[in-house]
Parts: sequence; structure tokens; C-alpha cells
Amino acid sequence: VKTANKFRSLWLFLWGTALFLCPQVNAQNAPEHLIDDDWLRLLHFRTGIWQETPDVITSEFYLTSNPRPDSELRALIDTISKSETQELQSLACKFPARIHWLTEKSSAIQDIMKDTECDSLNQWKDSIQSISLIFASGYLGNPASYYGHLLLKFNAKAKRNHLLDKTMDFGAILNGENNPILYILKGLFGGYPGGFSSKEFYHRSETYGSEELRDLWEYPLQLRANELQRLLEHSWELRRSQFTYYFMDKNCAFRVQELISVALGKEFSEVPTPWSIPAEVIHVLSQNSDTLLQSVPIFHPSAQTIFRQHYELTPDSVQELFQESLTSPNDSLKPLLAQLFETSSKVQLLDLLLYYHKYKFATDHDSSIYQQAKNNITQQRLLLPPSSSTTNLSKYEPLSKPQIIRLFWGYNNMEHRVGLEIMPAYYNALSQPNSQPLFSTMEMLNLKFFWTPNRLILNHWWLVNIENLSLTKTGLSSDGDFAWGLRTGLYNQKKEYNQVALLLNGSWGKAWLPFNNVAPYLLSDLILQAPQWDSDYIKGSLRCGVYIAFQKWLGIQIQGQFQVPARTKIKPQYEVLAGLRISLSKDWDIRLYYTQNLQQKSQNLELGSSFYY
Amino acid sequence: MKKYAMIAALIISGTAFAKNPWTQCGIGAMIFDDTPVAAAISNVIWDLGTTAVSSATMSEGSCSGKETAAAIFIQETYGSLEVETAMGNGENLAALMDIMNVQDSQKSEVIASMRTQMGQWISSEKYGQMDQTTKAQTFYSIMITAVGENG
Repeated sequence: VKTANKFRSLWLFLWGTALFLCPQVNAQNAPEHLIDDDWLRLLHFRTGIWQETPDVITSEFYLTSNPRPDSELRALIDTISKSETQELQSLACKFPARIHWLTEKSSAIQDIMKDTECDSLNQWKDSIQSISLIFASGYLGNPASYYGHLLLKFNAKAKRNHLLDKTMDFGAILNGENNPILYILKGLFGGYPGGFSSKEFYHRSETYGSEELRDLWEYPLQLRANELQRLLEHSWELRRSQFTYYFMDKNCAFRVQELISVALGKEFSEVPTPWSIPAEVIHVLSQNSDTLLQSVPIFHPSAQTIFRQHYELTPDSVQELFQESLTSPNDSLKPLLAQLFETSSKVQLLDLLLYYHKYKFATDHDSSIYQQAKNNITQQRLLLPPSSSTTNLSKYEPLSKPQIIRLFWGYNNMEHRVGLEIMPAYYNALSQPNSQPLFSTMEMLNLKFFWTPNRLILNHWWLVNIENLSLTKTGLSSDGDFAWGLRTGLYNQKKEYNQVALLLNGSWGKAWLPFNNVAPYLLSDLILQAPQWDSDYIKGSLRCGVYIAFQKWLGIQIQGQFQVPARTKIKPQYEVLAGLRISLSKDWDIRLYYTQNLQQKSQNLELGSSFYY
Repeated sequence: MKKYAMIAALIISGTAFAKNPWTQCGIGAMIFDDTPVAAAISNVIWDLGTTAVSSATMSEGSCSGKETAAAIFIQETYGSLEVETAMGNGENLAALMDIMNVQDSQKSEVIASMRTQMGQWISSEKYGQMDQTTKAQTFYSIMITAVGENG
């Protein structure tokens, strides 16, 4: 990309040299030499092999029917030169950022535009104090949100609650389609247009925090005045523009990063990747700018996190009454409250119950039991005095670095090998427990291959690999859910590594947390594969195992699996697995895996080092 | 109880106030409809600084004030507002007070009044049978009354 930019710049420089000294700027002698990376970013041109191609699909975003960086610049200068006052005003409202860019390059344009203002834009810009970048944690209810979401929040100058601030985000425009298979396919291959939407922050807070139970991290952007202005003006320009939406790369994370790049006048990623992940954008921004994300983010916990944090802070005696009240939610409340003499204890119990029912209502809308219980609790709580202030529970939970590269040495019954595993992952069951759900996995495009003395072998390539144990953190049976998993992609199924198959694996089961950071689980799998090779198209399996974590530096997994093909002629498979993770720092760990297939009589040992970045 | 009965009766008849944002500004149908078309439209709404809604049934002047903004806010966040009103404080409740321009010195009185009215309302049998939108409308009326008396 850099090289292509250099060639383009050189060519434009040579071609434009003759025009460079011309003091009068007009369409006939358009100074193409002015074109720089800022101009390309403002017009959303992608640098191709031969030329730049426009990324915006809304024709009104460009002034020419066949937009190119030079023709757009010429057209803009031409339009400005020929426009009357009213038309100039309309132009200033339509393209404020690119006109601002041009006035900085040309004193002639500056003279023409000096008395032209866009009042509505100025009014909006004047109302904004700062901008925050908001990261919403992954949501398993929507494939497009598996890896989280990014949005911008415009923090108002006015002294009012921040829930009323405006936000802006990018997403696919679905036009009523709700078929999940079509949704995934069209999302992957550019079947949807994408656009920006603007809503108050309370819409996001309610949708993400109360309904989808997603935590939010707010990073105040440390922008200079001119950077803030550029970001606001370009956001304004884009408000009715559409792009083609691609789930993997041209998604919310990409467009937000683009906006910040426009504001700062620089790119953040030197190496192009075929994906764009929200958590990765946060890390890239913090690595590439000394000051941009320097301050500690503001944590906005979900209804579930709020309940769990309150539960941890509640005295044991009140916790016991709380648990008792859940056994008979509609009858036991008054007798339990009567056992408490202090008003403050009654308030604690009722507040905890209210937080609990708010969180449970999000996962079970139709439950009349929750609804009736909540009404009783609300009624009792209204009889008591208000809480003096909101307890500040917003403890900061750091985000894990999203990508993993693992180099390993391995040995099976036959040979030694070295290999590489690359995961633009969101998190992994054996990763350090940070902000992600405990002992759960969320991976995308996990590629693992290795070299033997004779050949290069693909071990697997998972398009998606999710395993959510849905563990309770409070120990309450009702705080938690069924465990489930979904894995699809290619894998090499035989010990000789010569049978690559397409796999779709769905899992369902239950996990528990009887002790802190110890999670036994039982999962059933339905596995579809093609071609069948010497196995079967359809298989079922049962897995039981346990995850153990000790503080943050040690993680252990032990699992036994019993796999049965649908056809009785094929023998069942028994396999045991043991995994160990020792963290040497927050970005580096050592992992050891041992698997043994009792049927094939094969063993496999792997020792590797993972680096998170 | 008498006051609550009066409020409820007036809401049902639709004449409690000069306007009912739910019926006159089309809040329920416009923003909170679950139909795919509405969802698609809502995805590309961009209104920047204003909170006005647009609908075929409204005129801009009558539906762009703080009452409409409060109605939209209540409809969207009713679940949180119910909990926070019961507790007597919270971010959503604070934001609602800001929408209604309630002075800091008056907030505790307004909230106390809302809690009293809500206690009477929630103890009635009808509360359990109300859907979310009806609850939001009643909550809105309670808030308007409390602000009118104390704001």
C-alpha cells in the first residue's frame, strides 16, 4: 500500500509540477499535486493495483459520475468557483471536511469560502465537548456481534446526563431480512449496504447493557481541537452515505477506525489483514498513538455484571435471605423482610432482588413468575426510603489482546514436527481470565498447520469456533445457562493427516462452578462432516471434563470424549485430552497439550508458546 | 388513591394532557415497532442534535419539545426506570430529570412524588396486566404530574 502510494505521489508530482506555480486555482489547471493521503481518506478511496477505487456507494457523496481523486478535486474547485452564495452554503453543509481541507491548501478557495458557513453544522459542532470510543463486548445472540461492536459517542458541552449524548455507529442495513443463513452469507460476501446511524447513548445502554447483557468500555479520545473538528465534519459528511457491508473486514470496527484516521491524518495499520475486529482496533489505536487512548476507560457494566458485583458486596446474612426468596419468589418476601430489623438491610435485600430480576427479565421476557415477583419487590421497595446514592461498582476490567500466534513443537507415534497456529481470536478457554466469559472460547479463522520432515500439513482451519460454558459467577443455580458450542471449518481427521474434511459441530450441555475457578462440564455434540472418509457423515459424542484456573497464571483442562458414528459398522472412538497454560506475562504464555486416541492407538504431544498481540 | 385513579382514567381517555406523544406523535409505531421495515429505517436514522420524531401523524411543532423527548426516553428505558424509581436514584432517572429541565434543588421532591404515585399505581391489580407501552404511558403521566407539582 505504501509503495503504491509513493508511485502515485511521484507521478502526480511530475504531472503537476507545471501547474504548481500557478496562483489562480480553477478547474482547468487543477493542482493534482495537492492530492495527498488526507484527500484519499476523506473521499474513501481504496488504493488498488492500478488506481484508487471509491468505497462509498451513494452517488451523492461524489461530485462526478466516475469518481477519481483528481477528477473529484477538479470538480470541487470548479463547483466552488462557479457557485453563488446560496449554493456555496449548500456545498459547505454537504462537504464540510473536504472544503476545509481545500481551504487549507489554497488561499484562493479560502477567499471564496471565507464568509460561507453551515449554520446547522456549526450549531452541532459547538455543542460537542469531546468524543469517546465505545467498545461493546461480544454478543452471542447475533453473528455480526460475536466479536463486539464499536461506536462513537459525542459528549455534549451542556451539563446534563451522559445518557443523553449522541452516538454514531456503522452497521448493515437489513431491509427486513431475518433469515439467519442468508444473513450470514450476505454479510460475509457483501450482500448488504452499510450505513451510519445516530442515536442517544441511552438507546445503546439499554439495548446492550439491559437487554443483551453486554459490558461497555468507554475510551475518551484525547483529540486536539483541529482533530476533533475534522472528525465532526467528516461524520457529518458521512451521515447519509452508504458503503458495501462486509462482516469480516468492512464492518463497524473498520469504519470507526477510518473516521479516527481521518481525524488524526494517519493510518493505524501498516499490515493489511482480511479481518477487522473491534477489540483489535482498540489495541491498534492505543499502540499507535501516545495519547489517544491514554486515560483509563470508563466501564459501563451490564445488568448481569451489576447484579453479580452487588451480590459479591452483599453481606452473607442478606445473601442467604436472597437465595431463600428465590425458592418461592411470590410468597416468601414479606416473611423474609420481617426477619431483618435494620431498614438498610431491607434496602440491600430488595435492591439485590431488583437487580436480579432486571437481569433475569432480559433473558426470560415471557416469565410471568419473574414479572410478578418483580412487582412485589418494587412495591415493597417503594415503601422504604430511597438509596442515598448509586454504589460505584464500575471496576475497570481490562480487555484481552485479541490476536494469538502460537509456535509449537509436537510429537506423535510416528514423527516430530513444528507448527504454527494463528488466531485473530477474541478469546480462548485457556486464556487468562479477564473480561471474557470464564472458560469460554470465541475464535474466528483459527488456522493451524505444521511441518513434518516430509511435508506441510493442515491440521485445521476453523471459520468459527465458539464454546460458551455460560457459567454462573454467583453460585446461584439460576445465574447461568446451558453450555453450547458451534464449530465449523476444515480439519484433518486422521493420525496420518491425509483426510481433510468439512466439519460442522454443534454442542449442548451444562457446566458448573462448584468452587472458585473450577468448572466441570458435560457436553453432547452432533457432528456433520463431508467427505465421510472412513468415518461417517454424522457422528454423536459425549464430552466430560474440567477447567481449572489458579489466579491468572495457570490454566488446566482435562477432558474425556466418547464419539459414536451413526453407522454401527464403524467403531466408536475414545479420546482423552489434557491441556496446560502457564502465563509468563499478560501477552505471553506456554501451553502443553496431550491427546490420546484409545481406538486408533495414537498419541500426540504439543509444547508451544503463544504470543498475544 | 383518588389521585392515581384520576390519572389512570384520564390517560385511558387520552385527555389527560394537551398531547399524548404515544398517540399524537406516533412513538410506539414509529420507533419501537418490531416490524423489519421500522428496524431497517431506524438503522439509518441520523438526527444529530434534535430528539424530535417524524411521522405522518405529527406536526413538527407539537412533537419536538421536552415532553416528547421524555416520552421516547421512557418508552425505551422503562425497565430501568421502574427499578431506579423504586430505589429512588439511578442514571436513567437522572437523565429523565435533565430532559425535563428539573432544577437540582427540586429533583428529590419530584422523585419522591413519583415514588408515592408509583406505589399506589403498582399496588393495583391492573398493573400486572398492563403491557410495556401502557406502563410507559402511565409512568410518563406520573412524571408529568410530579414535575408539574414540584418542578
